[in-house]
Amino acid sequence: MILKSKYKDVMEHVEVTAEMQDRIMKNLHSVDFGKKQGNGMVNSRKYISIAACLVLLLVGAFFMRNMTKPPIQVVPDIVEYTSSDELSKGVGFMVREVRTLPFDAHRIQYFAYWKKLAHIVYEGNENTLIFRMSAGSDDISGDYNNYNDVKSFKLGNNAVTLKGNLKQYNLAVWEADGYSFSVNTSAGISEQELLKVVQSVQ
Amino acid sequence: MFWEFRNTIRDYMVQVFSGLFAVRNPANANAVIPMKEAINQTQINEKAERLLNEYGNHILRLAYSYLHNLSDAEEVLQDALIQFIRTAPQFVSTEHEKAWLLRVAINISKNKITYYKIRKTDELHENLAAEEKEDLDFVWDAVKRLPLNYSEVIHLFYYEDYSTAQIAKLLNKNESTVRSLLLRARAKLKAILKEAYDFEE
Repeated sequence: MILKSKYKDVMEHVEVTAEMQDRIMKNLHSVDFGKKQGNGMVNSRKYISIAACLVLLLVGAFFMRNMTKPPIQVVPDIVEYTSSDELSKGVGFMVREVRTLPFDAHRIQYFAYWKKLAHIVYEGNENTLIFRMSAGSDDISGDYNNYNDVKSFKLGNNAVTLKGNLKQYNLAVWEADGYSFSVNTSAGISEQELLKVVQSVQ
Repeated sequence: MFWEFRNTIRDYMVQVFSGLFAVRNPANANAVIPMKEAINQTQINEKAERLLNEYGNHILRLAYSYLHNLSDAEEVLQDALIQFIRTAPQFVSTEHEKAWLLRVAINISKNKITYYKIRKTDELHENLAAEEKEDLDFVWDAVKRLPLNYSEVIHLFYYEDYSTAQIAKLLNKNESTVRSLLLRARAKLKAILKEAYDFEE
């Protein structure tokens, strides 16, 4: 069988429906494309419309809250820093770093999420590694994929869990000294390589 | 003197009120809303409809290949259109226009993955399973399990029919890197699909 035609068949099951097109067109109408404002009356009409939408939203939210439990949309508070030291100040604890990478990183980015989670991105040509650290014992990886290969290891006093597919691992999570850690790679790497990354965190 | 003043005030008030009612009365709306704005809104609609008809499916499918979720992919499509209309870029050909939109969709999709990660709901898998298209579901599941940098080149090569040079330009990578990613992606797919598929036409 030819994969190319099969993959095209797969993708043809994803399409812009008439309803989706309507939704998008309606949403586009409410976008301010940076035009100059019209006269005062038009402005006030715009604000009245916005106020009416807000009132509807609040009323809708009130009723929805009483009817069902809606999913909570969280707007992430993300701040980018230029170094690990700055990031440590941003999150309020000494952020550790990955000392051994399985590839050459040409860019490192430091982020603080909600002032409590350190998120460092090591970007290479063919792979990207994300290291996260936060106080507590929750899984902070944010990786909700289902992996077929899950292995646990003991590194010193700490249990490390590796997850991946076909002996190629993308995720490592562990706890140490009251902190949770995770390492996530976009392309899978071997068990030994990932363990080496975990051991290098300090 | 008094009557003249009164008439002037009255005329002024009539003008003001006719203006107010013209805004509220749709029949007179064009008399008040500046023509430029009305034309621009029409242009926006026309532009958005053209882009949706010409590239909507391509953008949606590309976003889906990253996010594995229809509502996220729809959001990417919408945001890409907004960026296009806002930026109003000029192109020498439709191919450049399409590539610009795909590039934007890739960036938005990757940002979504960085911040929110991929959601569990996968409508495509559900649809294929409901239609009992096991062979297609098998292929989708295999591509879905690939790391992001592999699945993106697979999508652009096998669905968009882009050459490795075009993919390299789109993803801002070296062509040799793209070729090696494609080779590795094929090797992984072969391992998953157990030689059941041929990769060439």
